[in-house]
Amino acid sequence: MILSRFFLVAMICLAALLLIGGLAFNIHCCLAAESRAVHLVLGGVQVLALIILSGITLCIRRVIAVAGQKSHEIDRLNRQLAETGRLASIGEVSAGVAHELSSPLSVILTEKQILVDLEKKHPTAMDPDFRLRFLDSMEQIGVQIRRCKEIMHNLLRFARRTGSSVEAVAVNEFIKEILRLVEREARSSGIEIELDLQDNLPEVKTDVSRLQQVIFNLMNNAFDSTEGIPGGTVTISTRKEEVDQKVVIAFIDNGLGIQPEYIEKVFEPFFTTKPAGKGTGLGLSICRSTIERLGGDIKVRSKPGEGSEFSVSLPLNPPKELPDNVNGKIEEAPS
Amino acid sequence: MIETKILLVDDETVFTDNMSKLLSSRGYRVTAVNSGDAAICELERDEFSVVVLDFRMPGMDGLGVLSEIKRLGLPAQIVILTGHGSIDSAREALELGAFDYLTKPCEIDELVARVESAREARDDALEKDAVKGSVHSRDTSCE
Repeated sequence: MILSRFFLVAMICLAALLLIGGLAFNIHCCLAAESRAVHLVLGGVQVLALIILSGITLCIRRVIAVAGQKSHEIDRLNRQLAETGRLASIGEVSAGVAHELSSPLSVILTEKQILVDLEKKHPTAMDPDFRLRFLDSMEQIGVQIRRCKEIMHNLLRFARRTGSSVEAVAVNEFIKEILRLVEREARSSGIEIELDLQDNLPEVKTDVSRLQQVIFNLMNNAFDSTEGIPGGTVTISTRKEEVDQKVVIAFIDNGLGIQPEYIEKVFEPFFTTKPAGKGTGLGLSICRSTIERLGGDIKVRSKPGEGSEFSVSLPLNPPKELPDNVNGKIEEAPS
Repeated sequence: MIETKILLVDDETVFTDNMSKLLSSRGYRVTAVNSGDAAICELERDEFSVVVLDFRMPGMDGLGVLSEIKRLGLPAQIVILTGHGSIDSAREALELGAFDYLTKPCEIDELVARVESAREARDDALEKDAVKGSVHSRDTSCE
């Protein structure tokens, strides 16, 4: 690298010297009224110097263009790295929260059991109406604790998948699992969620962490588009494309839709129509680059005022460049 | 019926108090301690059928206690009951010789079912050892 730079600088200096020297000597000769042959030789030297300089200029332009491309690529990778890092942090925090919650939940469960045991021991000690209400509440506490445990397991699964590994994914189950983490918030915002999942869908062998990231982003994108819309509905559908052996996951919302002039831009980095603080404009761009890396593609269809459909198609097997440390199916948390 | 003795090891005092009450009311004799070091002291002092063991504790952790039980050759079966469950920790515990692995929060009925299985496994192992011992002593007397 240093040698090539030295060579370039030496060539520029040589060409400049030839040019300046040739010009100076030409003037000198003209003044001294030297022969025509000498003029010709010096003219040739100048032309040669000009050719070398032009060549060097072209080379420099080419180097600048390549450096620009590399810089763009580095920017893209940095953005992807930042997003992956962010998800990994979310994963770590989720795992920490899930673990820390287990102790107080255990205590609540044992307290509940002590009360239930006491009631069994002294069944007539309570007023009959109060007893019924009491037993009902105890049952509800048990149900809610089981629900908390399931949420904790989902969070731990999410956290485990922030590392990169290729696994066989049962897409329908995978979608339901991720949905369980976000659906409550969506439903509390008045959004209806509908699932239209094709039965007997083949498993997709892919990078499970990256697929999780894409599904998570597209789900949240659909929820954001539908938030505040009366009768807002998000439909998540799956189907198998028989022709090219791909599985298609579609996220359909009846939100505001995208203006035609923005359709081409939605996958560009930093493009967002969301209010300030709501989106970075990186989500969809990362989705596209991730899905392309997984050998699939992502498409969008939209009508302003009617809604949008983002569909991801994934090959059943990953491209060869993906690392293949397949562990079989997604591991279940021990219970 | 012989009373099953359980050693309950968890650093959360409220949890051990509550769980002791629940297990005692189901006919078990429970000793509760709140650290791995205290568990080893109890195990050296008394014999237990089942140890219900938390993973993450200050001082000696659950894996340390498990290794020590195996090193001492104690017959007690170990049921891990932890809030820090993961596939790796479960695998590691079972490889080290834990009988079962449960994650918190856990219903009392589920824990009792696992404790019963562990107790049966321990009784079977002791019975086999006793049969082996008697066969060995009979062989020796024949000689």
